[in-house]
Amino acid sequence: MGKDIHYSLISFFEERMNGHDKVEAYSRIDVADEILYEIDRSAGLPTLTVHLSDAYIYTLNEYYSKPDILKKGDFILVTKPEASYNSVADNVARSEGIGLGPIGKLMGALNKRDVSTYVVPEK
Amino acid sequence: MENPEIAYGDKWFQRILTYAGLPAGILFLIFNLNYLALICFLWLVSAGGYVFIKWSRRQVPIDLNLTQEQAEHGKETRSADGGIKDFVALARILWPILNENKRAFRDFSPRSGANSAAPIDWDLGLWERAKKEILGENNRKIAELINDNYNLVPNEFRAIFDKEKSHIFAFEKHLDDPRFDYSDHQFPQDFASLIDTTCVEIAKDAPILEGIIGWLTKESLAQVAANDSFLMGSILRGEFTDSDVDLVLLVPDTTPEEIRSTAKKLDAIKKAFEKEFDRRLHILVFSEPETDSFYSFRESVDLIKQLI
Repeated sequence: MGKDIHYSLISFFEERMNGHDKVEAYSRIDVADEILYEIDRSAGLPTLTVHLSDAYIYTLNEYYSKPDILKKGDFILVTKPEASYNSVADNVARSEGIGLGPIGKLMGALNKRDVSTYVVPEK
Repeated sequence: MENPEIAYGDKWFQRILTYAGLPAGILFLIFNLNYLALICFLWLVSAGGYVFIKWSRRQVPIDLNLTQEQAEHGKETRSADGGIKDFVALARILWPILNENKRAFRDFSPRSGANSAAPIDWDLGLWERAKKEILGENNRKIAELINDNYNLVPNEFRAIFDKEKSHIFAFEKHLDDPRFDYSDHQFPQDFASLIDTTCVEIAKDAPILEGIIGWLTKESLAQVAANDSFLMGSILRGEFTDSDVDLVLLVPDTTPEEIRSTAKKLDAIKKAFEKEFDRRLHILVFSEPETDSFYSFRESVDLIKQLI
């Protein structure tokens, strides 16, 4: 938990949001010690909050200490390209309707009404 | 702490003056007083030469535009005249810069995303920025440190340092002209290993490590009943006062309530740690259902200090 994310990762996240078909607008949410964005989507898709996590390994401890603002339908971005998350945390997040994963997964999940149900296609 | 492997030519010169010059002078004095003036003259010339060599090799304070962490760290490694004390001190200044490069390479290079679900353009865009803004800048600092302190590098390590200089030169050329292929001058891993090994060796004796281990084991870890724990990262490489201390825990929690309770305790421990040691404690926590992940991660870390 925290803001230990290189600024280029944040600006790159914003560039990706700018380039996504379903993203109408985004704005940074002012929360101390965390990086959160509200994402407004088109085509009647619900607005969601994305938490940019600075964890290198996203574990259950990270999940159960997540910002209170996160609720069902939101997404936790494992922001650092080399960061990872284990299947235990992923399963718990999905069971509570919250998406968890890297930028590629978020880009796909933004097309779905329920972002937690998105599964990255196998290569 | 002095590295016994370092051989200084100056020391031998000093020894010759000390052990040979004076007795030779006395012998000449005994056998032929007429040579006294000549001997004194030669001795003065030798001593003057030694002083001149020392003066010409003096360390001049350098402005490297170091980050706060690097600058703070550098203070501990400077001699009275502001220069870098010795090879170990040079290694300790180089380590955080190399570590930042390693982190940038790990986070941003195309190779780093090979196993991730991130699209390739994410990696490439960031990598291009990281090359210029992090690696290029840091490489210039490394090159300047090496050039200005080459006399501190023991002869047996100079070839490794030369390889790093060649790599930096080629990488700089690649930044100027991306078509320039620097694959013949890839980053020499033996350079990173040499610096890392030197820092690990001196850190073993660092009192701060003992203090931190004592504080964590006696004051803190019992509160969360950790099943397993270890330290990793920069704390095992020396007293990098501005660096986080990285602690990894396996705790027996299984329910959300237990995990939240542990998280709160750990927050309090982090605050107490910062107050005690004036640096941040970063804790990676695995709960009981993540036991396999904990041990997989531990296997992947090159150097750990087991606590429990």
